[in-house]
Amino acid sequence: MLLLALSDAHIPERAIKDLPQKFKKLISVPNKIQQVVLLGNCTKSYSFLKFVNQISSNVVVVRGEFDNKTVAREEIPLNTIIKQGDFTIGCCNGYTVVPKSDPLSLLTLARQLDVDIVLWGGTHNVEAYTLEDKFFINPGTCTGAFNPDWPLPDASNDSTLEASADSSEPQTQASEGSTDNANDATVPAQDGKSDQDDVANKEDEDTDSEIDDFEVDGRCIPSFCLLDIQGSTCTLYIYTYVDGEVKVDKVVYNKK
Amino acid sequence: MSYAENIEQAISNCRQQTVLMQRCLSQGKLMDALKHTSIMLTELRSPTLSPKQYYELYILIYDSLSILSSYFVECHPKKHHLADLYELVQYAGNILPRLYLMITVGSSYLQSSDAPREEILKDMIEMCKGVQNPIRGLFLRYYLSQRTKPFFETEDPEAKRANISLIVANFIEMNKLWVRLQHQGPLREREQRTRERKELKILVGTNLVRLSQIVESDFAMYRDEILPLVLEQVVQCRDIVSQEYLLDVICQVFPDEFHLGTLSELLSTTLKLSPAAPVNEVVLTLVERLNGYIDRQEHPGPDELAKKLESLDISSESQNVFFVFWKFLNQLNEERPDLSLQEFAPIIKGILKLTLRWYPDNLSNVDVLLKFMYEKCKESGQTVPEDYDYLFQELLLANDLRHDPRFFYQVLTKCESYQKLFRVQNKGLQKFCVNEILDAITHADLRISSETELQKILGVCEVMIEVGAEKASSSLILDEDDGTDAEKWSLNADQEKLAKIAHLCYNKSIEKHTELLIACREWFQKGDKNAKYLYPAVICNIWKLIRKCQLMIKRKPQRREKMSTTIKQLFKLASRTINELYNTCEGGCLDLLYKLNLQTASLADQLELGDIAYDFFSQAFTIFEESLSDSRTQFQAIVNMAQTLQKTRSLYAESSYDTLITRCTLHGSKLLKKQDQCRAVYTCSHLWWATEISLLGEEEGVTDNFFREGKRVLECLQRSLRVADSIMDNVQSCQLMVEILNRCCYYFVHGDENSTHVGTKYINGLIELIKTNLKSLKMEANQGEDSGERFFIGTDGSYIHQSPVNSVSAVYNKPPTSKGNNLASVPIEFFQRTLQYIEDQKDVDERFKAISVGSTS
Amino acid sequence: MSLFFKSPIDIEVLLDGEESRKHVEVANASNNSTAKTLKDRFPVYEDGESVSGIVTLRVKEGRKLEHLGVKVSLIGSVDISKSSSDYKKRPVDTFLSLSADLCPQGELMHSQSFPFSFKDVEKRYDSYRGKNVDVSYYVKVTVLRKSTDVVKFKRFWCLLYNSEPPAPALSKSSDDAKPVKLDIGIENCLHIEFEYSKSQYSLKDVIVGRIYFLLTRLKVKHMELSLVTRETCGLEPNQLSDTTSIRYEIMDGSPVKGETIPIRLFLGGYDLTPNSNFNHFSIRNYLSLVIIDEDGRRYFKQSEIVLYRKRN
Repeated sequence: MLLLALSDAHIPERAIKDLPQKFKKLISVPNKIQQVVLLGNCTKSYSFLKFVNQISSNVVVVRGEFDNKTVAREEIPLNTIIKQGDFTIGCCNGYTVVPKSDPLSLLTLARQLDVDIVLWGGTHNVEAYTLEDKFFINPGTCTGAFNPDWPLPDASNDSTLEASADSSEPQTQASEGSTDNANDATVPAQDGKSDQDDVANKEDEDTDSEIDDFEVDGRCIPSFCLLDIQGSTCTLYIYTYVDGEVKVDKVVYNKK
Repeated sequence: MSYAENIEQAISNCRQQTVLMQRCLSQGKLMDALKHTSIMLTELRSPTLSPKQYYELYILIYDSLSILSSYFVECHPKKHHLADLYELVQYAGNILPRLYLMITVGSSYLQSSDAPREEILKDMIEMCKGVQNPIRGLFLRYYLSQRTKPFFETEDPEAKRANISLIVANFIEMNKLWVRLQHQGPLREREQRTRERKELKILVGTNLVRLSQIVESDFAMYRDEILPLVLEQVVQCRDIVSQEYLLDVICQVFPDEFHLGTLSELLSTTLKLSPAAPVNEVVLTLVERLNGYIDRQEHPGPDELAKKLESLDISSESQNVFFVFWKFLNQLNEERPDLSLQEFAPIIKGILKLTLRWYPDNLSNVDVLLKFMYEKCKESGQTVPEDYDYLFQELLLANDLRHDPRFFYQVLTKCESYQKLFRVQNKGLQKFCVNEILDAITHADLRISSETELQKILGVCEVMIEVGAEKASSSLILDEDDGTDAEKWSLNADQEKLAKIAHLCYNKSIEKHTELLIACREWFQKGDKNAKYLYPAVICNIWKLIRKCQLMIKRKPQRREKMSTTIKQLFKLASRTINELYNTCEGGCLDLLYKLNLQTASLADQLELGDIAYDFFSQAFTIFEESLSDSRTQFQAIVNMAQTLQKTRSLYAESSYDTLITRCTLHGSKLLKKQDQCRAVYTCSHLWWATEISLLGEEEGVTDNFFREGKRVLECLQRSLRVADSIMDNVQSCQLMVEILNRCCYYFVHGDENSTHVGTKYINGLIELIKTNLKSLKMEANQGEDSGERFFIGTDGSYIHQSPVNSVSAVYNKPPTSKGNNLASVPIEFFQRTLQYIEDQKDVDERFKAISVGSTS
Repeated sequence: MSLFFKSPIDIEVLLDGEESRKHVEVANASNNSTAKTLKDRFPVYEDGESVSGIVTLRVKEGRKLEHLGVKVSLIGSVDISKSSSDYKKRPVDTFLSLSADLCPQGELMHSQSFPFSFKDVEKRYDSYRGKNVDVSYYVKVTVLRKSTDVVKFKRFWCLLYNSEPPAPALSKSSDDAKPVKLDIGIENCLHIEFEYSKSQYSLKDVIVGRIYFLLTRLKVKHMELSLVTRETCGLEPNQLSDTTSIRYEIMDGSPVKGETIPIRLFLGGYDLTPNSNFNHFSIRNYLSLVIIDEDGRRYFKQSEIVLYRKRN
C-alpha cells in the first residue's frame, strides 16, 4: 500500500499554493494512495484539505504548533500510531520533542510508542535515517514554506551536508548503536545547491537587490514522502522539487 | 379535386400518381401526365398537415416533379414547345397545382438557351403571390428557389444584379409568409406556432445563402444592393423570431470582410428591431463572428489587422471596430431608454469580448464600457436586484477578462470603472466575485509591487474583509464548542484567500515592501476578529523581510549598519502587529499569539539580537501567564517554549537565558496536572543541556562551550521523579518513571557522570524503584488476555488505543474506562523495551555494562 | 315525323369546299344528359361570305316525283324556348331570309343536282347555342308539293370577327383602353381594389389584372375569378336567362393588408361566347371576383366585360 506523508504546508500564513503543480500531478492519481498523513501545520487551508481528501479519504492528522486544536470538529492528537503491513508507524509533528529533532529524543519516542517507523515534521527539511533498527522519516515541507528556524547555511560553507550517502542503500546509513553519528546519516536530498549560490552571488548591486525567495524562505525546498509498504518491507520515496524539476530518491527499509 | 385526410394516405396517393404520370410520359401522353401530376399536387393543398409532414410530402413531390421536368427538357422542342406548355399549365383551376406546374415548366424552359430568362423568372416570382397561405406559400417559393438555383450563376454583373433582385424579392415574400405563420390559428397555440416556424426557418434562410453564393466577393454589390433591402425587410417584419434568425443568418453566411464594412449598418438595424427582439444576441453573434475573423487570420497581429482593414472599402472611422460598437451602444442608450440592465449587460459583455480580442491591451476600452454599465446601474436605482447577479457576475468575471491574469490584474488595478461597478453590486455577489478574483490572481504568480495597486485590490476585497453580522460563507463552519479559551476557529476559505494577498506583495525595495505589508495590515484590521486568519501571513512576510536583511548583510557587509536599523524596525513592526492582533481578537487566538512570539524570538536570536529575543520571549510568557488557561494547551506551550529556548544561542549575556529557562521550568512545575508537571519538568532538564546545532558548525565532542549544567539537569529529573512518585494512579506513576528512565538514558549516552550528574547509581536506583512499583501492576496485567488490543501513552499523556481492526489508532485524553486491565501493561512493556535498549547498548557502549537490568522478564 | 313516313326523296345539300372548310364542334343541342357528350360539327362562315353549294335531289329508283317547284333559302333565326322544361325552341325572330328558285314546277324522273349561291351574305349575329336560346343559320331546301313539302335543313355556323372591339353598348366610357378599376369593400372588414387591364377582350385574349388588399379582416380561405356568360331572352315578365361560368382560383390563403395578388387568365382555352345583343336576346359576359372565407361565406363583385372574336 502507499502512504503519503505531507508536512508543514503552512497555507495560508506562509504559502499560497497547495503544492508545486508537478507534485500535484504525481499524487493526485485517484485510488492510488491509500492513506495520507499530515504531520502538522496542514489544517488551516480549506483548499488544501479538500485536495488531500481527494487523494484519499483516509487522512491521519497530528498537530503542529500552528494547527488549531481541532479540525472538522475532531480534536487533533499530538501523536498517534498507524499500523500498516508489519509496521507500526508513530506520527508526531515534533514541536514537543526536546531537543528539536534530536535523534535520541525521537528514538525515545519510538520506544515509548513501540513503533518501527517514526514520521515527524516541523523542520521543513526532508530527511530519513535508521537508528537502532528504527526508521525515521521527515517529509519536510510540501509547499516550501518559510522556516523561521536556523536557516540552512550556504552549501559552499558546509561540506558535511554535501556528503549525503547513496540513498539507494539505506542500510549503510544506519549508525548502529553509534548515536553520535546519527546526524551524519541524514539524507538531505539537497543536491545542486552550489548552482543556486552561483546565481545568488552575482548580486552585487547596491540597491536593495533581489534576494531569492528561496534564500529568504530558509532554503526550504518543497518535498514530500511516499511510503510503499509491502509486508515487512517499506520502500520510501523522497520527492523533492529543485529548480522546477522533481527529484526522486529511494530508500528501502526492512523490518528485522 | 380534394386531398387526402392524413399524411400516409397523401403519400400513397402521391406515389400512385407518380407511377401513373411516368407511365403516361413513356407513352407520350403529356396531357394525361399533367393531369396525374395535378392530382398529385392537389395533396399539397392539404391544410391538415404539420410543417414536418408537409415537408415530407414536399420532398416526395419534388422528386416526382424532377422526373417531369427532365421529360420536358428532353422533348423540347421536338414534341412540344415549353413556351406553349407554360401557358397550357396555367389553365389549371387551382392555384397551387397550377403554380407548381408553372414553375416546373418554367424552370425546364430556362434550360434552353433561347428562353426569355428574366421574364420567366420574374413572372414566376410574381405569380407566386397568389399563394398567401404561409406554409403552402413558403414551400412553393422554396420550390421556386430550388428549381431556379442553377440559373443564377453568372459572371455578368448586370445579370447578377437582376438575379439578386429576384432572389431578394422572393426572400422578402417568404419572410412575410413566415412571419404570418405566427398569427395563424388560435392564440393559445402561439407557442406551437413559434415552434413550427423555427422548423421552417431554413426555407427562408436558404435565400440568404443563395445570395451569398451569387454575390461572391463583390462587396459593393452586397453593401448597395443586398444588405439594405434585406435589412429593411428585417426591420419591417417586426417579428422577433424572424429578426433574430435573419440577423444571425446574415452574420453567418456572408464573409467577414463584408461585416467589417457594414458594421454600423448592421448595428443600427438592431436599433430598429421590435422592442422585444434580443438585441444582445444579435450583437453577440456579430462579436463572435468578428472575433472568429481574427482566429481565421493567418497573421492575427494588430498591425496586420489594421492593414487588412485599410484594404477594405470602408471609411477610416469604421476601421476602429470598437468605436463602431461604442457609437452603437450610445445610440442604443439614447433611442431605447426602455432597455433594462438585464438587456444591456450582455451587450456590454459582448462588446467587451470584442475589444479584448481586437485590442487586447487596450484598458481604456474596457474602462469606458464598464463605466457605461456603472452609470446604467446608477440610473436604474439604488441597488441592483439579486436576480441580475448572474449578469454582473458574467461581466465582472468575464472569461475574456480573466483569460490573461495579468491583464485582469491591470483591469482590477487600473480601471476606475471596474471598481465603481463592483461596489454597486450587492454584498453576496461581491463576495462571490472576490473569491474568483483572488483565485485568479493567486494562481497567476502575480506580484503586487505598488501600493496604489494593492489598495485597489484590497478595495475590491473590502466586502470580504469587513465582517458583517452574518457568518462566514464557507460551507465548512467548524466552530468549536470549547468555551475554555473561547478560541473559535473555522476553516474559512474566504479568509484563507484574503490572507494570501499578503504573500503577493513584493517590492525590491525593503522599505516599499514594508509599506505594502503595512497597507495589508491596515485593511486586514477591518476584518475585526477575522484578523486571526489574516495577520499571520503579514507577520510571516515581516519575518521574511528580516531574513532578507540578514542575507543582505551577509552578502554586503558594508551595509550592515543600515540593515541593522531596518531589522530593528521590522522587529518593532512584528511586535506591533502581534499586539494589534492581540487587541483585535482579545482572547480569540492566544495560542497563536504565543507561538508567533516564540518564533519571532527565535528569529531575533538567530540575528544575535538577544534583547529583542528576550522581549519576545517575555511577551510569550505574559500571554502564558495571563491568558492560556486550558491545561493541555499550557503543557504543550511550555514544551514548545522549552524546545525553542533550547535552540537559542544569543541570550547567554546578562543571564537572560538563565532567567528565561528558570521561568519556563517554574511554569512547568506549576501546571495543573501532576503528570503534566512531571513531563514538563523532565523536558525542561534539556534547557541546561544544550545540544549541537550542526547548521552553526557546532559538533558534539568538538565544540566545548555548550551551555551545560549537569547538576541542574539532575535536579530537574529528581523533581519530576518526585512528582511521578506522588501520583496515586500507579499506571500513570509507573509510566512517568519509565519516561524519566528514558531521559536518564539520554543523558547517560551524552556524557559521563561528571558532567551530566546522571550516573549508573542513579539509574540503577530508578530501575529498582520502577520494578518494585510495577509488581502490583503486573498482577493486574497478567489477567488480561491478548486480544490484539494495545494501549500506549503518548508524550503528552494521551492514551493511544491500537486495535487490530483499524490501521489508525484512536487517541483519548482520558483513560478509557472499560479497558482498564490492558492499561496496566503499558508501563510494564515500555519498561521492558527500555531495559532491552540498555541491554543492546552494552554491545556498543562499555559504560552501559554498569547498569544492572536484572531479569528483563 | 320523318321517322314514320318515309320521304319519297332524298335531299342533299353540299356546300362548296365544305370538307376543307373550318369547322366548329358544338355540344349537342339536346338537354338529354346521356347525349351531352355528343357533339355536332358545323362548317364555319363569316359575315359577308358567300354561301354556295349544290343541292342534289335523289329520287327513289323507278319512281317519279311531282313537285310544284324547288326552292333554296338561307335563313338566320333566333330560337327561344318558352321554358326550360320544354326544350323545343321556336323561332321567334328570323333576321335573315334569302331564297332562290332552283327548279320550276315539274316532275323529277331521276336524281338531279342544282347549284345555288347566295352572294356576300350579311350575317349579323354569331351562331350560338345556349340553353334557352339558339342563334342558327341554315340552308333550307324545300321541294314544294301538293301534299307535304319535303324540306331539308343544312346548318352552318357563323363566326363574326371584329378587328376592333365592337362599339360600346354597355360601357359609356369613351376610352376603352383604360384599365377597369374597382374599389369595393365591406365596412371595417374588407377593402380591396381591383384592376383589369381593360374591359374588352378578344376570345383568345388574356385577362391580366391585380387585386390590392387595402384592408382585410376576413379570414380568407381562397379567392376565385369567375367568368360568367349570361344569356337573356324574352321580355319582362317572361324573361328567361341562363348563365354559364368558368371558375379559376387566383389566391390561396389569407392575404394581409398591402398585399397585391396578380390575376392572369388565359381565355383561349375556354369555349366562350362573344357578347351579342338584339331585340329579345342578349349574351353578356361578366368577370366575377369571389372571396370565400373560412366559414364558407362568399363575397363577390361582378363587373361586366365585353368579349369579342378577333381574327388571329
